[in-house]
Amino acid sequence: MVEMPVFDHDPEYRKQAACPRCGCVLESHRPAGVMRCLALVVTGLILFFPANYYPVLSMDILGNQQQSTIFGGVVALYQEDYGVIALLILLSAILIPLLRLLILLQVIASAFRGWGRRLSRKLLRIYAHLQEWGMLEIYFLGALVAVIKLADMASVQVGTGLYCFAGLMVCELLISLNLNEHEVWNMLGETK
Amino acid sequence: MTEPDSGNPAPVNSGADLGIKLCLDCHRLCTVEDSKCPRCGSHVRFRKKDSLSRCWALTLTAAFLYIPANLLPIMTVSRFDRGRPDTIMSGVIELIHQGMLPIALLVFTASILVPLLKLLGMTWLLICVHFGAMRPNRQTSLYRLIVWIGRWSMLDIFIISILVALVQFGQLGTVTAGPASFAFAAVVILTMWAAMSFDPRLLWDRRREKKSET
Repeated sequence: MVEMPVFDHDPEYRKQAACPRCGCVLESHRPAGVMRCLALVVTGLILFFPANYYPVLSMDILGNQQQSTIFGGVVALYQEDYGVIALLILLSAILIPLLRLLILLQVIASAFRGWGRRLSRKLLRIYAHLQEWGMLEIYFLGALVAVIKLADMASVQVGTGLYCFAGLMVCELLISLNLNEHEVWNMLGETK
Repeated sequence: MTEPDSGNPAPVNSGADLGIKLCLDCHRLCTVEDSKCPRCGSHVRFRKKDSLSRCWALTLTAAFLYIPANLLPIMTVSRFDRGRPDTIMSGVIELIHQGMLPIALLVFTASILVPLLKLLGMTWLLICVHFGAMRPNRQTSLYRLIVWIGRWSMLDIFIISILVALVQFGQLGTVTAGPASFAFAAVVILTMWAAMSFDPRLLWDRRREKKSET
């Protein structure tokens, strides 16, 4: 196990650094940020599977029921010859969010325990580049809009998948708030 | 820290003056001699490579694709074998007729307004760099807004994927995707890419050059 760090005497406690010219926040120090991220990554990985296994939405017209998972949307678009769009959704709503969680798990584990740091430095670079392309929160909003759009056509039920997906989204949001990348980079050290 | 030298018309305010480069991947400070970041191994340069030409090319391509994205149908809703192709705008109008004004506004903002403002915003930033930025502070904020807001245009693509998978009831109603979805997805990707290849530090460089000229 890893020991919990103590912050009571840490002069950096909750300090923020901002660019004096353009005002961009450069670094914000959060107590136990990396540790919290580890917990959030594990929670996110657990939620990932039900979020993708259970249907996101189901609807009913005159006794005919239809339900769909996130991957169901990818398959439906692929079958209609919209393969590129299907791939885009597969990447941005499923694969990239999963990959980012797995990368962070490896990176934080090696930052604390010291093994595989060379690999982790490569992975953390990929992590930063993928930031823009994981679009969980946008997919979630899209699902909500779809519910409202379909509401007058048929009865629509929100599935277990969407609740788990919402949880996954919250995890990702909290990770982005708590992760201080400078700190992680410092923990990973350098090769000389 | 270096004290500002009163006799110097161009004070030291850029890393290049001090021989420091910033690694954009891991934010380590590197020296002039480093061509690769000693920590994470990515290429380090004073400014992003070919930033302006890349950004112009991507923005212009996206601007052209914005036209078919809005004119072609993005999805078709069929009921009892009668299909009604919808463009992005007619979908928004449909939502207004159904009395769902807030949702209509959301879709309008995400699918029409944001891509358009992003294209105009990127063009404006590029013009500012070419002719000398007068207010780099404001333009840097605009840049950050463009980067942040860009991804939200994917909303419509996700809605389509959900509807296409869910509404498959044969005669009672089906939803199929339309050709505009290619163009629209391309606009979103290209503008995101354009924003990433732009280097906001160029705005500050130009102002400094202007100041030192006068």
